[in-house]
Amino acid sequence: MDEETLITQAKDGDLNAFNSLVLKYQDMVFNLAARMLSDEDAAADVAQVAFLSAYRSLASFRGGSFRAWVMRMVSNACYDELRRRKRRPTVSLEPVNDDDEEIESPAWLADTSESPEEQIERAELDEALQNCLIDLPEEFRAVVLMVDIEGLDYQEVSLAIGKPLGTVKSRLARARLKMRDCLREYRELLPSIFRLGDEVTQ
Amino acid sequence: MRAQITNRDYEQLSAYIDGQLSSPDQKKLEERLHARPDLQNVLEDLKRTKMLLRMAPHRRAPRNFTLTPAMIGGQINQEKRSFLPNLFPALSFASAIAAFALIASFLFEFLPSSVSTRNAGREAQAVAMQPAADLASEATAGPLIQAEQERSIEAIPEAAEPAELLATTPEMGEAETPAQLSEPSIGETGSAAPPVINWQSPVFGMGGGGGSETDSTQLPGEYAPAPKTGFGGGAGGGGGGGFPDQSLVAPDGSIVVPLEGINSLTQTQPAEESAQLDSSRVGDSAPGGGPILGIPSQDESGTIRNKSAWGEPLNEIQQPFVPELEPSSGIPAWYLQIALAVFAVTTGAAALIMRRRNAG
Repeated sequence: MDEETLITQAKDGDLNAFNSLVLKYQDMVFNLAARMLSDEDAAADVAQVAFLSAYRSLASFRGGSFRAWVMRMVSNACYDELRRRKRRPTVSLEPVNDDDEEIESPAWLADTSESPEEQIERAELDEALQNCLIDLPEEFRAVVLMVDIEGLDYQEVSLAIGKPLGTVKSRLARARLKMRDCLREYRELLPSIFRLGDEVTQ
Repeated sequence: MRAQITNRDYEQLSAYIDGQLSSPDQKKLEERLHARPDLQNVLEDLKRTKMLLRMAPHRRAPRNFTLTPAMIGGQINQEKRSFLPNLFPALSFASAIAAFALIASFLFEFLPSSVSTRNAGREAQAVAMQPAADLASEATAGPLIQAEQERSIEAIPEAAEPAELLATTPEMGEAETPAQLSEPSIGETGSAAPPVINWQSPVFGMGGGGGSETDSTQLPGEYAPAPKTGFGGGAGGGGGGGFPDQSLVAPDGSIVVPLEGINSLTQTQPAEESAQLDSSRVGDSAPGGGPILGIPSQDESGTIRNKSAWGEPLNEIQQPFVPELEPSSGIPAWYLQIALAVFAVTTGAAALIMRRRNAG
């Protein structure tokens, strides 16, 4: 069943049709939320809220990219969560086991297809990227995540963030430059083929 | 000289990587890239950055985010709850407005009555002063009357004994008999007290009231005629604006208010008209028909004026003066007050519940 049919049935109140759309986009939604918030538990809550908001606002969907429309729901939910955190700051804790011992990385335990060295490299790259992403302004972060990680085109991003295409281009370029400058600090952790040049640009 | 890389250059390079440049812009940028190695270096950095971001581990959802009917119902309830807090400011505002309206209704209920009471008090004061002015005008004729009445007492020896008894009541004429003396006066009738205005302070007759000869046997509360001797007693009363005559003052400082004054609370007469009435009455009662003011007739001499002059016995008019208010037409005010009170309490309680629910 194609996406448009599912959307039409979901608009008619078919919850199963909507859940099919949820299953299709939930990883993308969760990944964006996790990258935006740098907190997987909060990301799961935000993703659930985003899908509930999407179901509630389904009547307002007028066609076009459903993916971009869903990403808009997620990004708005992430902005709400970030604003809430600014009002009531909380201390982010690393996940701990039953003995209150810190778990180094849940991904380390989840993926067993790679060798330990590869897993370490990937974990270090992920940590470096996430640290640099968190340093970005929220608006820049959302754009670079949608384009470079989730693979949305400029038009979809423009729809998702509700800004003109020129704003998307500008934010993306500045976000990439900031990421480049930030990742230079982690060049020792990056694979040799991805190590960035030492040229200092203005 | 090395050209500076502008923000527009960065934007074009970023868009070039994503293939988002138009064909003319892409050709121009490629020509510049061939001419400028610094732009090539930036382009390579941006490509690597994008590649790194693409390599970022994709985090999978820890669970399914599919919706259940219960979640949708909860969402609907949450929507209802999220709508309810909007009612809190409206309810609290309505409660406050109702409370203010209730207070205002109480104020408007009491204010007019107090104003009308004050007005009635002023009218009563003005009327109470009018008979005093009349009596004072009578007292101006005191010296003229004195000699004539003394002659009358001498001419009738059988009336000497009562005259001695009432030597301090100089206005008592020769026709006065002991029977007349036994007539109930204001002070002697203990059945009910006359209407009294308490001036809240020692009363001093501004009109003087006569000469140096004072009556030491005057009964308490009894209406005392003006002394026959003495001068200057008409100064205050003649103007009509003097304070109540001392002859109207009871020993406790209260003032006897004549019936005429009370009746005129609702129908006041002009000062000139009442003065004419008084002068004509006194003139008629004067023996010999002379138009001498202040000379009472023989029948009237020595009697208490407050019965004969104002027509009816005082004990019939001794009801305390209560100013009557016009009954308000329409819905009684207390209906509105009760409704406002109920509304204020209800909306206030609802606002309180809303606030607790929001806090929860």
